Amino acid sequence: MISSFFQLIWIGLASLLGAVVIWAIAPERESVEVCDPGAIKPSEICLADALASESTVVWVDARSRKEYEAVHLPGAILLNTDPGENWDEMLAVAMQSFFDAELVVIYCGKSGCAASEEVAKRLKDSVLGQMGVPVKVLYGGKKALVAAGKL
Amino acid sequence: MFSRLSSIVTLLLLSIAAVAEEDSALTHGGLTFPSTLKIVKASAAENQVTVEFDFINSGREKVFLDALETHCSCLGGEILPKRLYPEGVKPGESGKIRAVFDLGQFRGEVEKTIGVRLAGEEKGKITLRVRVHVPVLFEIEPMTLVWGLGEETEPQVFQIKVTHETPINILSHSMSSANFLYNLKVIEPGRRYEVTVTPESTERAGLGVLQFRTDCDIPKHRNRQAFVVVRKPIPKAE
Repeated sequence: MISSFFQLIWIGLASLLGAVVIWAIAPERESVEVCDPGAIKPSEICLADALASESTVVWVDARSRKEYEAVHLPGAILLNTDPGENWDEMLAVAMQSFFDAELVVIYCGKSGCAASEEVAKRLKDSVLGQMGVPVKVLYGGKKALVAAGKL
Repeated sequence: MFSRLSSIVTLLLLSIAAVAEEDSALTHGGLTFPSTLKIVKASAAENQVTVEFDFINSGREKVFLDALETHCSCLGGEILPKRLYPEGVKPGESGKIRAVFDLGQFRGEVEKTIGVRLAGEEKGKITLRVRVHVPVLFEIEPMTLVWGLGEETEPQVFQIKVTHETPINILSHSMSSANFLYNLKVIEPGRRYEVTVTPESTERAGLGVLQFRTDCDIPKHRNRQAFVVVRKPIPKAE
């Protein structure tokens, strides 16, 4: 009887230790609001729709170079309006991907982080607008990508 | 009492003027900002602009400011007078949020936001916007010429207009792709140019970058570029 009691204690402690280890090493999953395509702004797109699109999608990371270099969606292009960056040079690189894109999706840190809206506006007003390529801002930004396990 | 009333009346009058410029006053968590949008016309050579947003505690309780948030290293914020952070803003007391915008290589219109986060779980934040217009001295219109795959190789034209007070001459120019032939015509030296571009073939998708180096006296306006593209048409149903 006593032996069973101690076994239970040991099992309990081992489970607790396992939980602590998983909590410590598991990648962080940030909470993100559920994206309702009917409720978002016309300039935005839900991650599920962007991923399901049959168009040739080009992803743009509008965060800082430091954040981009730390982690970014595979294939995403860095394009931001930071003053230390040369917009013209970055755009010339991005155009190598844009010229045959059918949809450009831009993300920054999170919803309302403004950087992706800013880049989207500049692209719509210039090259992508003139090429007729739709530009969308990812609803939820990087947080949505992290929550979906894409980053 | 009178001074508090006169401050509120002044702020209200300022808010009415602000609304006329697509701006809006905002009261949140006890703080009233008569203007949450500042529009600045910078000069072509300017590298930094500073704007100030006035605020007043129009509530009955002291308001504590938690932090200023920006999403761009180009925008710095400061609470004035400095003692308001972390001492708090007493009812009737006013202050300013000073935003300093580093323009870097920006040309054209750019807008950035600065968030004023109030202390306390439910207080949230107030978003202030700074919109800066930096003149484009060497205007290329359009910025991109597009041909559809398989289309006729008809020539298309870039129009270039110099809006700077002094003429801007093109010192050199180049095209990155041999598929696009181009001809630069000087309409008015230092003022107007025309570049006619003709693709040799539209059978394959491709991109060309047309680059101009000018003698503009302001370094960040010295080099410009335009794009030429052959591409498949965009599906209309997207």
